[in-house]
Amino acid sequence: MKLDKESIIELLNQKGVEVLDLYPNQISVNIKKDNLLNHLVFLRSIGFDHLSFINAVDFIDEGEFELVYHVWSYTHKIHVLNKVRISRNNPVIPTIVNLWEQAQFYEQEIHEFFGIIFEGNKDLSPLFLENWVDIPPLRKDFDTKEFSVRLFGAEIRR
Amino acid sequence: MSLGDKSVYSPLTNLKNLFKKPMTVKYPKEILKVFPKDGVSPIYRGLHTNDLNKCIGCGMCQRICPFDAIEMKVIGENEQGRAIKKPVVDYGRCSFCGFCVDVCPTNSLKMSRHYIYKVKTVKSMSAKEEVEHIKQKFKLLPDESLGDDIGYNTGKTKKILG
Amino acid sequence: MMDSPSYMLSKIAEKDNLTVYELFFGPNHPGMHGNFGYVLEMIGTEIVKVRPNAGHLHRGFEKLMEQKLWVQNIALVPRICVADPDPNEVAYCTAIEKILRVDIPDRAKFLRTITLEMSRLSSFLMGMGALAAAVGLYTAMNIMTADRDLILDLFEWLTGARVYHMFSIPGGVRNDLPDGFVERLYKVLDHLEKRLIEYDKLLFENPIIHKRLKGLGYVSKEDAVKYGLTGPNLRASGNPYDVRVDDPYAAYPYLDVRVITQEGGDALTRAIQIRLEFEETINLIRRALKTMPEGEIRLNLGNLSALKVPKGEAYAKVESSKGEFGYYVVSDGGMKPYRVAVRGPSLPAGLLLAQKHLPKMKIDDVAAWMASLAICPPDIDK
Repeated sequence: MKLDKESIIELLNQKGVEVLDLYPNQISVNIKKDNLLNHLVFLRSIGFDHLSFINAVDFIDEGEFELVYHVWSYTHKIHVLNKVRISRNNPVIPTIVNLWEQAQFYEQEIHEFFGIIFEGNKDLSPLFLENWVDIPPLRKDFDTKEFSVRLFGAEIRR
Repeated sequence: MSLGDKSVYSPLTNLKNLFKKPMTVKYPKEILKVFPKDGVSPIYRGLHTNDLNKCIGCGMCQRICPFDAIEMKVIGENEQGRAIKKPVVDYGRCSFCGFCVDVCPTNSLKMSRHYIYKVKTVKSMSAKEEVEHIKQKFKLLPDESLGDDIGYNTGKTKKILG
Repeated sequence: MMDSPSYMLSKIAEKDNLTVYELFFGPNHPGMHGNFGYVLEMIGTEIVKVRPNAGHLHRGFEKLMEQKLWVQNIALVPRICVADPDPNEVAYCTAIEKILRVDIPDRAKFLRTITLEMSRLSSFLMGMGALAAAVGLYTAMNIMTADRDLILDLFEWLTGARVYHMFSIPGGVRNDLPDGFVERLYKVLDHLEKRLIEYDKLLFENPIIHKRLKGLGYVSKEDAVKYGLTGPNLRASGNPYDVRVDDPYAAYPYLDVRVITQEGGDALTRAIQIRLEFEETINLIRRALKTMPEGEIRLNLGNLSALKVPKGEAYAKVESSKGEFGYYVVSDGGMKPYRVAVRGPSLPAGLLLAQKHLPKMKIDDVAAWMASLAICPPDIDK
């Protein structure tokens, strides 16, 4: 049964999560770390069956990482951005591999580029970078220019 | 998609390809004849041309260049003693996106339809020296023109950037 | 099973203490497209275990985009998928326009749609050619490469470049259609439609491809959704979902997009799916050209080189020839993006399905399996 955006927002509000109406077909949900799995299981049970993407954003000024779980429903045609904020000093979050198997690779990628640890994920081995020794490169405090000067002796023009 | 039985003679239908025009052109002897102008597209984004009389040396092209390919080079001084700057395009970095052309306020910087650049190498040079030599040569310097056949330019249309 | 050649080979290998060996399938393997690899653990010709070996093409785009102006990134994003660059530009621009909350002119939407569909055609031709080459039908590949060139010619005429068009910018597109372009596009479409008969004879009705691909890499209807497959791969498993219909962008709300689905879910169905969608794309371009309105091609957003995008975030997705291409863009209100995250369509197939399908598969089928799923490694690496 197809639900429209308003009724989905109402459903989520009843569950006690904060919902933001962003664009047509797109809503954003702020959830707590402990509530993440329950929330995603609930979303899946009401027809949000496609995990499209997981990505992380480094909000260095606020000292937090934001993980965004992109979930799309083929029945309701709604895209939900599920945002979870975790502390930058202790970046640990439960894995969702048991829910969606492709999350394995997104989690591996995020672990590699942000250093976020996914509790319960058995394989967080590097996927892209080899012999990486510096801090995870997509963090905001990683300076690419300084890195390339230090490692390769690059000349910086400006 | 059905897999019907085919006639024994069906391979013979391929003989028709003998009388078809080839899809390719023999490049230096013939040129492509698909566009209103012969050769590459009329708005081809090729090597740059810069009209030095129009260029005011504002440096907008340097600022917009996504790949740091444009450097403003001082070529002299004007009457007030201020430096005259003109862009130098490094083709080792250029991605031919054409944003420098879009942003140019006087429409002096344009892209030509030329896309072949030759650097003469010296046989006696070592490989290392040759790399440096090509690095120096593979540029559009203010006093040279690499082509006058104008391709991509925003002169006629409304400004895209800036 | 007991008398199968691979079983016999494994027995011989065991006897000689040569049980398992590692084979690097790519990046220097003739069956691999792009700079990507699988490390296969093999017994004889049969694969036991697979480990994806990505990262050969990792260029750090997501980090690089944080250091460049909004408009400068247009020159960067098409490089994420070489065969099908336009969805990247459109997705990135759509995300920016969503945050800016602007609506671009109708003609710009149609121009974007036409370039997207042309890009889809060229990518399908490349994909079908890769599939043909993977099973040894090089004639089909050569013909398709030649026909793809006709579309690249059109791109060159419209945008000034053949492969990286950089055609969409925030607020619209860079050029309008030149005189005589529409007539030539119709001519090329007619030519491609006629060529379909040839493709059918060479490729899709060829017994070789039926024998090689039937039953290979089967994905059931439920699994296709569960594993996050998108695009033709999803539709070949019987799911009638298409981003162009479900979450329309550009001019697709004004167009009648017909979603083609097939039951089957194996490599042969996916190959035929591409062929059917190729035909439908030709018709879609014709419909778009017929309904294209006149008018402005760009929205005036002020000085684009000093564009500031208000604080906010948006996810924009585009149906590319391989599936859902998504851009998640975060802005902090400055001149540069705060974060751009790219969702490539190949990751679920290229990494997850590889671990499901490749074990027990023969080494000969890996290239055909990859081509049938249209795995494009650059968007895994980014």
